[in-house]
Amino acid sequence: MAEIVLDRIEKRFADGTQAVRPTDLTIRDGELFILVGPSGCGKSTLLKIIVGLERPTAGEIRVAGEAVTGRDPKDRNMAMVFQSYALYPHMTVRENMAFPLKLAKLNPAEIAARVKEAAEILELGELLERKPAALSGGQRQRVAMGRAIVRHPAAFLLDEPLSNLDAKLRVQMRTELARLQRRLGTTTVYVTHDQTEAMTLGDRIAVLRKGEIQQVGSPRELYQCPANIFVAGFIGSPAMNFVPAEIDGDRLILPMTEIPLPDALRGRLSARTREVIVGIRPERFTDAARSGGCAGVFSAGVEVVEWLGADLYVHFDVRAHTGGRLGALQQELELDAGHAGRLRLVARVGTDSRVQEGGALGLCVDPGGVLLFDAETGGRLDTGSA
Amino acid sequence: MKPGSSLLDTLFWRAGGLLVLVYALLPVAWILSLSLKPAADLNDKHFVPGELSLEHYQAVFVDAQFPAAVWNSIGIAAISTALSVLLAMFAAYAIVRLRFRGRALILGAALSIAMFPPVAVIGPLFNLWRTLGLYDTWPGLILPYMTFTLPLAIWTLSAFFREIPWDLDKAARVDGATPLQAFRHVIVPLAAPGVFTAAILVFIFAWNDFLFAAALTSTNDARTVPAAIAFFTGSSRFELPTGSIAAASVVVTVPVILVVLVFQRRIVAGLTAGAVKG
Ligand SMILES: Nc1ncnc2c1ncn2[C@@H]1O[C@H](COP(=O)(O)OP(=O)(O)OP(=O)(O)O)[C@@H](O)[C@H]1O
Ligand SMILES: [Mg+2]
Repeated sequence: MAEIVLDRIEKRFADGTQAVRPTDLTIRDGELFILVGPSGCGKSTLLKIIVGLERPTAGEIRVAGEAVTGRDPKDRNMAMVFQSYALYPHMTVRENMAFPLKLAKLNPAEIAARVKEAAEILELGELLERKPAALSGGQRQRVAMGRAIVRHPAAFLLDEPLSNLDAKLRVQMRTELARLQRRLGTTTVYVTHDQTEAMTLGDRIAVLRKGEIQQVGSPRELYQCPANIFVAGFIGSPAMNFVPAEIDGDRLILPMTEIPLPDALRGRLSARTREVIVGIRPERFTDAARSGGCAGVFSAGVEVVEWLGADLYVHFDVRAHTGGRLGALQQELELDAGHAGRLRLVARVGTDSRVQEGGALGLCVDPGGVLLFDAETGGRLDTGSA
Repeated sequence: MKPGSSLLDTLFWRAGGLLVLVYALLPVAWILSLSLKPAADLNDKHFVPGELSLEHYQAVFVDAQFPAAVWNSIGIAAISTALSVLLAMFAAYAIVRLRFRGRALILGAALSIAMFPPVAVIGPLFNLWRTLGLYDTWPGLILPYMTFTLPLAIWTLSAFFREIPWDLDKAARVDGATPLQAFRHVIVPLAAPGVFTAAILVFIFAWNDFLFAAALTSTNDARTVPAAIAFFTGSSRFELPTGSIAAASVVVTVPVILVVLVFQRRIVAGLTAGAVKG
């Protein structure tokens, strides 16, 4: 068990790719730390640097206060679960789990005891004599996990451990993994590109983009108080709505309506700021017919209605300028941004709302629930509110 | 495949296979038949021997020359195979896994050695070996055998190594293995089919070689079976040693068949199944 500290870690590959920009990160002893970000943002590279499979170009790694930057992976006492599981196909499940212990030259009795213990925790008892080829995806995942826990390592490093499983099993294994981690109390770094997984699992989450950490925080902090437009768009499902807006005195002019500028924001913005990007979570819209006297009522042309039992999602279009930074961001996040001149927005309303596809719905915006972002840099303008 | 054509297809391939088999095995059967005929019947123009006799086999083993040659053949072929495959394993692994300058050059050079006609080096090699004292010794044959089989072994093995997911090496390293341990415990067992394929190819080359054996040996110290057979003499100078040659040929075929049969069982495809998913 150990605290892992990354100090100005940087990785540039031989071909010039800057996979990780100078990064400071502290992963606390015993926590389940999540690295999340879109594909190619350097998550795996960061993990490989921690475990020692890649050398950082610059910077230092400390585990439990000890610098390990140049140390061989075999001497770091960390266990890694690969996205592909990387089970040894010529060994049985038992041999797979015993392999790291044999390399550590433990005596056979101790090895047998540890494998048995791990097999019990992971319910692998009946599978011990099978080869990996004869296991299902979920079972392979558990064997990979077993191979990691038998060693009682200083840290677990998991690289998208659930991405090869089908949706249902993924949810189940997710909970199991979280429970296992709490039970063992081992420092764990968990890499995923799935924000739902990140939000449900982690104590703390780091959002990565193009090799750079955008924000580190608890799921709640990331959701309620994103540091910039990227984090805001990445975290949450359905994603946050972004619309271009203008500030006029103490009013905020959106493409579809006007709302008063939130109290918390007045006086905080510099006088020159006029163009902003406004982020509105789907739940910050309300059905005007159901709530008396709300701000900025407008009529939305309903395109699609999604009924999920407890929630009702309404998709509608608004006419707006879609180019520039907003368009680029939406492309990067692979959001369905609508087409030229129109923005596609999503609102969550109560299931008792009377909406019909093709009909109109009166919606209003909760002024206290909007986030403002700089139209140029994408940074938060109203840090501290929401 | 269309269901209508499948029967015809099967028939075609079966018949074709049979034809090739008969064509290839007919001379072998003939030699077997000759080796079992008594000396007097050798020219009786019958395919099936009228009377079976083991006299040629006895004759072959009574002469001290043949057992010595068999011993030389086994030793030289086995050592060449072991060394060649071992070297090729390291070379192929490095070529597949490491990025270093001259990777392509090494593979290209290996291929060019394989294309080089052995006849062209026989003369110089003869002189060189005499100067170095390697003439008529085991190393004198093992060295050229390794030279000419290494390229093939490297190519075969690198094809197999390339199939092994790189994550397995990395997993082994994280599990606490040194690079050599990862290679020995994970990569080599998975590449076993490739190792055995390469071993068979090298062994057969060394076992069957006549050119180097005939040119670079002169006595029982290092002469291998193919060369020794060429030096067989009949019991009188008016008699051709046909029966003995046939018997010796049958005897030397047996180890090759054995090696192939034993190794063939190890060449199971799909050994890497289940390593990784996706
Ligand atoms: N050996 C390498 N040489 C050059 N560039 C590399 C190498 N390995 C990775 N990269 C680059 O570094 C960047 C980060 O890669 P990395 O594998 O860390 O991404 P990732 O966040 O794990 O993505 P994914 O979610 O798809 O697994 C990518 O742009 C990738 O192309
Ligand atoms: Mg990755």
